[in-house]
Amino acid sequence: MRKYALISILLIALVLLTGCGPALPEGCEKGDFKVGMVSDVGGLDDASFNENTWEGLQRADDELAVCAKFIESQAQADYEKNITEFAEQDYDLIITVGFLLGDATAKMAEQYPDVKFGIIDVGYLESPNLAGITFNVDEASFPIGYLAAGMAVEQDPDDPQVSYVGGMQIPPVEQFIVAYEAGVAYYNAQKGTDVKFTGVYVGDFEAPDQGKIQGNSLIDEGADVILGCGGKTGNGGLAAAKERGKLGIGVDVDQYYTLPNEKDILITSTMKRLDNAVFTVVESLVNDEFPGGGVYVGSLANGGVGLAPYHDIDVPAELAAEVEAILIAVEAGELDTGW
Amino acid sequence: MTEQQGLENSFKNRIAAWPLWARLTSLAALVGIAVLSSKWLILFLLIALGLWPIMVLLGLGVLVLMSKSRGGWPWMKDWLKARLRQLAVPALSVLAALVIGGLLIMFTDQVVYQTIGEGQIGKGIGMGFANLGRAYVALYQGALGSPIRIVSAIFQAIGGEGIKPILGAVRGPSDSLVQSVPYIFAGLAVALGFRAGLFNIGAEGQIGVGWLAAVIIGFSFPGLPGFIHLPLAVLAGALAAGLWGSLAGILKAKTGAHEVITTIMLNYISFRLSEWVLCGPLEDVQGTCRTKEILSSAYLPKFLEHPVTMHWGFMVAVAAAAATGWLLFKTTWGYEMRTVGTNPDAARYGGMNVAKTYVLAMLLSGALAGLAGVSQGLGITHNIALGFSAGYGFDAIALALLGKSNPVGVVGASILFGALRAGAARMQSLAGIPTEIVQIVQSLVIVFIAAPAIIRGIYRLKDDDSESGQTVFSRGWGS
Repeated sequence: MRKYALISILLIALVLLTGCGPALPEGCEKGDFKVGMVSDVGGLDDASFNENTWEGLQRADDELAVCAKFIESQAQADYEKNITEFAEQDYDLIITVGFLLGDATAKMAEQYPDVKFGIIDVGYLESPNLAGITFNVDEASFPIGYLAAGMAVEQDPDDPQVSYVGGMQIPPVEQFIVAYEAGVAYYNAQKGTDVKFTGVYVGDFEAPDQGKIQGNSLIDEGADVILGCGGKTGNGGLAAAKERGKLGIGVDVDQYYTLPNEKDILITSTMKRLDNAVFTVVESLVNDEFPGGGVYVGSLANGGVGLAPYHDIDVPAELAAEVEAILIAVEAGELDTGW
Repeated sequence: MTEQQGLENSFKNRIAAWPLWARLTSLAALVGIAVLSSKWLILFLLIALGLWPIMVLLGLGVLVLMSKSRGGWPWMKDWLKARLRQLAVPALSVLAALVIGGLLIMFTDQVVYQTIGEGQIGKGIGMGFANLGRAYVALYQGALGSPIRIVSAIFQAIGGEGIKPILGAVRGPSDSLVQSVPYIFAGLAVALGFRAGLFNIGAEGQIGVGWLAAVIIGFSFPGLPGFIHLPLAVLAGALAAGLWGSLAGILKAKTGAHEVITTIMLNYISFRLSEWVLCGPLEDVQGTCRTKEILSSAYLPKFLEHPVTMHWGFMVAVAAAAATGWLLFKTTWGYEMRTVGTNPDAARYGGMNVAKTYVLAMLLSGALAGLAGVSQGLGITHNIALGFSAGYGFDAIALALLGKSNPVGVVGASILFGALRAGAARMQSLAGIPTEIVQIVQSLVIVFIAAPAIIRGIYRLKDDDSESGQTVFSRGWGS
């Protein structure tokens, strides 16, 4: 009996303690802009867009008067609840990551007109307190398609071939692939070559094994450069290229740093700088210039998309110069990226 | 004791003596009053949950009053002892799991172990305790709200500010109950299977099927009044999932295929089919991989305004638990299921149709699992999108074990899991502790309850024989 009494006293003490909880989140100071990020079900450690977005928010946390926190969603039914969590704690800006959160974000933006919202990869929502954040990745993948074609000719002048290993066939992925293909076609038109463009959509973002199998069969068919394009599945394609002594091109971030095993075969990576984009949106909020009702478009011009630097693979100076020229032409809108 | 029972019986007898129409009318009247005042009942329930220590004290007070007429303190002591004995193992398991989870929170923090590594052990441990306090306070508030905030909100409301502050203050309890709804349904599904000797691992797939079917009905019939549309969507979801589940029952009955294998495989089939359906024929806007929004006539109504998301799904879940208990323990079907679950050979010898019972049990189990998806689809998301699967169907196996395959136990275990899950988001946003810690705590609770000897050993509790040998789990593999 005494034991139970002790335990119940402990429990009651715990409850009394909870009365005086923290008013401010851990590490936040009064007057900071509070920015919350709600991830999709991929989680924060996806080595892709959730992680990259959080890096941008952490930079904002360090450099601006901003305090950033995140909640990882475990299911579709959690999205609204997690957004509510931040909104009820009077956050100033809530960033929701990915098109899966589109509906929940739209509803909550209406529910909380005083809170600002930013949503990644969605440009179709309109609300005065909501900013879409989208990317013209085709502007970067077109020149990279050209570069890949050039490198394929370098490797195998007789039968050059560029191949992609894609994740799910959804618009954000197709945008890369279509522009890659247009870049290869542009190379052929300029040089009179016949670089082939092939590839597979695996239908999954989290299947490195499938990506590797597909990468191997593309290499069997003569692929010289593999474009990884679809989370962990794309990374599997790059692993196949490494094993078979072919070249690869990464995606989303500079994968030279995120794929230590495959880094020496990476020519470059097509970067979709989510970190820069969210940083810019947070900065605009701090400067009272929040693009509510509008869309932030990451492009070559504002550094939202781009090429990662060349690392271990030597790109011929002539080809590199041509790519530079194409980048300038695309930025000026003189070349059609096919998207 | 006997006097009390006599009183209760005479009350029951008096009601039983009423004519049928009178009993039905008074039942309908009671339900009607409950529905009409449901908003206030729910608000009271949520406040009571948030202020549970006060409720416990009130309960004790009532007990003291009651004990006066039947033997005073000794009677009360016995009564409390019996209740505490029942609750001891689950409650102490939760406590032990929270302690271990707390150690993880303290010592997985980089700053803490760096400080300790630099030799400042006392400072490091102090920081660890500070982290722990912050984390568990946030977890508690996310799950049950802050009692002080609730009390001050009540005073604000009395002062004429309306119920808006109260709504904000009881968001925690409301979230906990909302999160527990799919757990209750899915846990009941697995528990019912266990009782019939079936290990239904397919709840996850059945949830998806039910969700999808309910949403399809939900957006398909514009113009239907709510009182037809909503039940239709609910029943469609339950039926579709039930039929999906009964496939495994039919396979077992006809061919002897083990339901563990077939339900796992049916899971994959339903995952891949729903991916195709969501990104293909039923996709609403190109590139979003989700269906249309259901019509408002098929919404499971909410009791109160945002941010309290509590919807009728919780009431349906509690009713389903009552119905499952009644079916299992008060009907012939239930008796047959339990007999088949204990020993199919004896059941066959006794003249029961074992094959029929397998199919029926899988049908009902699937339908219950489907209702988990239905409540999410009609109550929360109002559509179905890629990534809907949250592992409720797999957690449900643990919940059925935790609740000892007993509907009341499943409801209790589900509310515990729902509360932990609701608190996890607050813990992550306020204290930066990953939600995974909550998964670890949940897993530890299950380990401790599955192996009560550990808890009895730690706390030196006496073994209590009444508990062992009651539960019938699925029989051995390949039997």
